[in-house]
Amino acid sequence: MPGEKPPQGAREETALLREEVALQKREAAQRGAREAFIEQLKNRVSVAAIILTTALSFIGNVRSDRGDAAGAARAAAESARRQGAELWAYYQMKMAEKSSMEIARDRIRLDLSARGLQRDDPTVRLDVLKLTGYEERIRDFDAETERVFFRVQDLEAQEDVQQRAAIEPSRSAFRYELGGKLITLALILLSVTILSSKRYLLWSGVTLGAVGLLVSLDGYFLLF
Amino acid sequence: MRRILQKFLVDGLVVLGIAVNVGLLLINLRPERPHLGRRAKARILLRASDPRIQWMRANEFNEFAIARDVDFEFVSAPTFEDVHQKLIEEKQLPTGLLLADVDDEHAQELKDGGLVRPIADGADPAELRDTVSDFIREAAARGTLDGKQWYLPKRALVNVAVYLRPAIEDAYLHWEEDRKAIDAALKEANGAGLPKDFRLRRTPDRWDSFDLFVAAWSWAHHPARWAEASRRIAADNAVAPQTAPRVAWPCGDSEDGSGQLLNDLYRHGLREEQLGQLDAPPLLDALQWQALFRKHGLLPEQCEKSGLEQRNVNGLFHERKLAWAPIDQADSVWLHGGARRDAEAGIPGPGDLSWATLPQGVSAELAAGGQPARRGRSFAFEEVHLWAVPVRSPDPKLAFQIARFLSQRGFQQRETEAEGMLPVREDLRQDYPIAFRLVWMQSLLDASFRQLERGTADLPAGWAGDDWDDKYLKLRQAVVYGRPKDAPVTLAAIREAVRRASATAAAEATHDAR
Repeated sequence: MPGEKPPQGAREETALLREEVALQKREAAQRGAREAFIEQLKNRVSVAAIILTTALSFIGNVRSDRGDAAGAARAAAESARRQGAELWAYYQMKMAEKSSMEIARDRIRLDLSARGLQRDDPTVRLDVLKLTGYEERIRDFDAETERVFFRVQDLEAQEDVQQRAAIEPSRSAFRYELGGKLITLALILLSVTILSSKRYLLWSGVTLGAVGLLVSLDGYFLLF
Repeated sequence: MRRILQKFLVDGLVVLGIAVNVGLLLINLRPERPHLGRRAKARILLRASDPRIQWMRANEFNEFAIARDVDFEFVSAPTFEDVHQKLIEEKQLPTGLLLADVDDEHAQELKDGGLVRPIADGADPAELRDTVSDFIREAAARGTLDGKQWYLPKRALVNVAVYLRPAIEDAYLHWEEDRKAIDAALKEANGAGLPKDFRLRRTPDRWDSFDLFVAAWSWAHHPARWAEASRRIAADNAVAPQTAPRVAWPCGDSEDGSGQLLNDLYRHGLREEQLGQLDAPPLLDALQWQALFRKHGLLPEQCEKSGLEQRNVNGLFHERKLAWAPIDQADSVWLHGGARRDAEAGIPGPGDLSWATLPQGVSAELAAGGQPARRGRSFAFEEVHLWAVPVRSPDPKLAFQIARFLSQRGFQQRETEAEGMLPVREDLRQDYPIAFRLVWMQSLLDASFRQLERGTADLPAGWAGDDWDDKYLKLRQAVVYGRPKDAPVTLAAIREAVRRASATAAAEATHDAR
């Protein structure tokens, strides 16, 4: 009947419905907020990941360059060392030859001395001819070994310089590598951020990435 | 408000990230370390000749200059006395001297005069420990004063004997031809002649004063085929073998002459506390031998006149006019000439050169058994050169870094080979037969290190400071060169000459005081 109050049960039902609707609205709002948060988080993770991935790519290139430079310097030092060692071996061989000449020369001299003869004695012309030949060859050996020594000197200097030249690129490569590792770890944290939707993981990843970038930049400037 | 701040933070980080990436892109284009700093200027004071400075610039300093953006300017000083003077001037009017090359003889004086500051001031303690541990302990100790590292060792020098092998062979084979004459000359001086059973020893490494006298006599009295007339110089035999004195050492009143005299005194057994004792046997023995050499014409004529400095002695050897002389490592390398490609030509026939320790000083006077009454030792003063930081040095840290850089093994090895010195690094001292494989260089280093083992010491503190150098030079001049050449050279005559000379000097001093 009009004007008749609804029954008690219907009123309760309406209230329940209203509560239900309100709850649904609240839940929808919360869902919306979470989705917005996740969306925002994803966006930030994406931006951070893009920046860090790009940096990682550049760092990889420059690390490889520095590593190659250090490797080339070490290879040059090693090559100089090897050539030097070969030349020293050649020098030793020449010295052994020279020693045999010296023995031959000394034998003739001792023989002449034992016979009480001088170089200008006509009876020992052949001995003196041989003696002079030996003396000249010994002198030639001296000149030759001196040239070998100068070459070895250059090679040893080169080895020394190249060894030092390898130090700076090695230090750079080490820093780039460390920076690269830190950035990789940061990217892993950012990936976990998407799965867990935890903001602190985003900031941890960004902080770690920033440290990685700083370490990499020090690979260039070598300030520390 | 918070949102705005957050937005700025996020946007800022994004912009920064992009900027870093742009930076990394640019680094990729040119990955070498940038030279961002201002170029520093470093003035280095070196006691070295111009060619040596040029060599050091090209082979040592340039690498540091490129790596550390430093422009080096070198100030050359001919002697350590000049270095001292320049450091005094630097203290009064600083010109930006960063680092200086000094010797151990002046180390204490420079510290006491406030002319230098400890090199340790510019070094990190761990770095300093690491650097010092590379040096030979004795060399590092020369740079330590009152327990603090004031200096870093740079290089060392010690006198050894250089000789021509053919000359030694000649003396060994023929000296007995002169035995009677030598015996007579010595008998006049010591009343006995040569020691009992004397034989000239085969190697100068074992010589004593008698061996040197005998060899010098033999060389000075016979034409020398192995000297300037050697076929190494005159292939056409145009130069006839000449008879001339073939032994020389610095004489006269120069700094070299005083150093040589002090060496002689110590070889005859003088000790620091005997400085000034004019009746000390080592002094009389040393002067008696010098008088003997002079009396019998065994030394070059220049000793009678203006004297010989070390460079003059080296010059005579370079012309192959000498058979035996004292010499240090730097001069040895110059004399040989085969140390590096662009080196000045050395002595003709450098293969004939060899090196030995200095002869043991013994008295000419013989004991009852016919052997020398007094024995000294083989001796030479070791000179250690040090890196010092002037008191007004503009950058002590950079100064230490330069000194440390230059002390690396490679540099020490190359400088030893190319310019001549005794390395001050422990590893090179241990490995020198491996590191220096040229036969002549090994002979030189062998003799040098053996000399350090046989006899060396610090210069006595009062030698130059208390003017003993001048006093002893005057005494030598009066006793050896101030008397007629044929004056007696017995120990008694020498003692009397010393007494007279010292009395004259005392009278002059009294007169001057009035």
